[in-house]
Amino acid sequence: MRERPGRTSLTSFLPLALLLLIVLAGCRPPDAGGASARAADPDVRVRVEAPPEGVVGPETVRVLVLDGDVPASDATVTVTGDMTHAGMVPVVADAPPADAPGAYLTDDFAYDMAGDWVLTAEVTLPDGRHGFGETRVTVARP
Amino acid sequence: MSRVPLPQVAPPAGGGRGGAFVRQPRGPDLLRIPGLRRFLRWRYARLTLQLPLLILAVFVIVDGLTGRQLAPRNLATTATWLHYRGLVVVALAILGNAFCGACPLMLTRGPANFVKRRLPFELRWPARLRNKWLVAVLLVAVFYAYEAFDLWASPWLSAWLAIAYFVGAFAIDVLFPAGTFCRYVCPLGNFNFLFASVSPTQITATDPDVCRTCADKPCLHGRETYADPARAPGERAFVPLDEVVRPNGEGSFPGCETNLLVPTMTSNMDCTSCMNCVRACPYDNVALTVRSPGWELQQAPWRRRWGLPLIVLGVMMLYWGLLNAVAMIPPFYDLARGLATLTGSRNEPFLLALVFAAFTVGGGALSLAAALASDAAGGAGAHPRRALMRWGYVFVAMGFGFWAAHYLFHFLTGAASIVPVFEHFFAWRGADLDPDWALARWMPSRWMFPISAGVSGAYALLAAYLTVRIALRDFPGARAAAAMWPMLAFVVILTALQILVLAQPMEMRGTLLGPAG
Repeated sequence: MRERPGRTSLTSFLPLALLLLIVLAGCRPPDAGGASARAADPDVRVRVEAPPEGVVGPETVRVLVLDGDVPASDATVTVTGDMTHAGMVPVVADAPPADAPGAYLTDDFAYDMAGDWVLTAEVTLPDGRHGFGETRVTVARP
Repeated sequence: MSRVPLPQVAPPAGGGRGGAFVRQPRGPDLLRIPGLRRFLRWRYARLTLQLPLLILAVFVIVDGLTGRQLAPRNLATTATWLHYRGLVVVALAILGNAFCGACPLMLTRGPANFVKRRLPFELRWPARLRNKWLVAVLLVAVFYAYEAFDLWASPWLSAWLAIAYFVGAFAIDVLFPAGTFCRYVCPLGNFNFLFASVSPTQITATDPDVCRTCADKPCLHGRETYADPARAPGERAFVPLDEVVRPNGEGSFPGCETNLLVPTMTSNMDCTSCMNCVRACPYDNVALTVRSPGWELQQAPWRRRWGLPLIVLGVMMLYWGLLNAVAMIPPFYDLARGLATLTGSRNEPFLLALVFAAFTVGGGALSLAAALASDAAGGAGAHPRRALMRWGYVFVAMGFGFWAAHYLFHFLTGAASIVPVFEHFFAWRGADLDPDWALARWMPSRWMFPISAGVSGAYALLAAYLTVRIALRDFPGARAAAAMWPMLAFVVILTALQILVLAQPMEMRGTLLGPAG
C-alpha cells in the first residue's frame, strides 16, 4: 500500500476541472421526439392542442395534421399521455377524425393523477408516412 | 511496505488474554450456506456482482444521453429513481449493504491505479474533511438538486449524474488513498452505510482468539499468497499457500479499504460489503453474522467512530426523507405558495432552499428538544451533545422506515416497467418491438398505502424499542421509565405524521408554484 506525502496543490487540477465544466455545459439533451425512432416525415406536421392546465379526469385532446400545407383527414392518430415521473403507466387513446379537415379529437382520454404530463400524438398517413407532435400539460387535482 | 495504523482495539472482555475484542452479534453465519463462502472467497466474486450493475449503468448513460427524454420511457430515470432506489432499501432491510458490494464505481479502481502509479505524488485527504460533515453537505446537495432540477423527470441530467459519479470516483481514487471516496465523499455509499445500521447482518470474527494471534491482520492490510514467493509483489504481508485454511488461489488479496478490522467491528458503518476481508483472511475466520435489526443502534457504536457529525447526519436524514416525500403531495405546493406570498419571491430555487433550511433547522431543533426532554425526565441534565449522542439512533431507525416506505412505494408502483422500458430502449433504436406499458401497473394501487404505512410503522416500532433499550441502559430504575416517555411520544407523533403524508394523493409536478402560481 503506497502512502506518499502530498506535495501538489489541488489548484493544479483546476484547469482540468474547468475543461470538464465547459464540456458539460456545452452538451444539450437530445430534442424531444416521437414515441419511437421511426423517422418523422418533415412534410407531416402535427400540432397537439390541450389546455396547458388540466384537471384530473376526462380531457379532450385535439390534434391537427397537415400534409405539406394540406389538411390530412384520413390519418390514424393515437394520443399517449405520460407523466414525467418514472414508473407511471401511460394513458393511450385513439383520436378519430373530427368535423374540421385535418382535425382529430380523442374520444376516451383522461388524466388519472395530478402533476406534469407530456401528450404525444403519433400520426400515420395512409401511405405509411409518420408524424409526431407533443405538448406539455400541468394537471391539478379537482 | 508501509502499514495503515491499526484502529484502537478494545481490551478483551474480562481483562484476560482470551475472549472477544468487542461485543459482536453471535447469530448464525450466512457464509455457512452451501457454496456461498466458496463463491465469496473466489477472487472474482465481487467483479461478478459488479458487472451486471456496470452494464446497467452503461444502458442508463446511453439512454439518458441519446434516448427519448421522457422519464417513464427512459432507462436513466426508471432504473435510477425507481429500481435502484427501491432495491437498495429492500436489500438494506432484508440483507445488508449489498449495493455497495456490487458497486460498479469501484471498477474505476483498476484504471485509477494505472494512472496513480504514473503520478509522482499522492495527495492526503485534508484532515478537516476526515469526518462525515462533507458527506452530509453532499447528501443534502443531491436531495436539493433532485427537487430543484427535477432529476426524476430528466433522463439527460440523470445520465450526467451517473457520469459524474464515475468521474468523481475515478478522480478521487487517482489522487487520494484507496477508500477515500467511499468513506468521505460518496453520497450513495454513505446513505447505505447509515441505514445498514438497521440491516440484519454484520461482518464479524468467527473466533476472536484466531484474530488475536494473527500477526499481519490481512483482513485489514491484505495479503499475498503465491506458491513461489519470488512472484509476490511485496506490497502486502506474504502468507504461504500451505498456511491458508481453505485456500482460495494465488494472488494479491486486498484488505479493507475503509480501514475496518474485523474483530473490532461493532457497526456496519463504512463497511462496503466488498468481502475483501473474507477473501484476505488466511484462516477463513470471517463470518457474515445474522443479527436483529436493532442490535447495532442500541450499542451506540458511533460514539467511538465518527461521533457527532454522523449522529447529526442520521437525524437529518429523517427530515430530508420526510421532505423528499412531502414534496410530492398537495399540501407542499400550498406551503410553497404561502411561502412565495410571505417572501414576495417567486424564485423557485430560493423558495426550495428556504424549505430545505426549515426542515433541516426545524427538524434538528425538534429532535434535540425531544432528546433533551428525555434526558431531563431521566434526571441527566441539559447537555445537548450528550443528549443527541444518546438518543440520535432512535431517529436513524425512524428515518430508514420513512425512506424505505417512500422508495418502496415508487418501486412497487412500477417495478415491472423495467421490461417495457428495456423494450423501448431497443424499439427507439429501430428494433421491431412493441413495449407493453400496461406492465407498469402490475400491483394494484390500493395495496400501496398499506404496504408503505406498514413499513413505516414497523421501523417506528423499532425506534420505540430502541428508545426503551437506551433508557434502560443509561438510566437507573424509575428514571429509565421517566426518560423514555418524551422520546416515545415523539416517535408516535412523527409516525402519525409519516402515515398522514403517505396517505395523501401524489402529485408529480416539476414546478413548485404551478403555472398559475
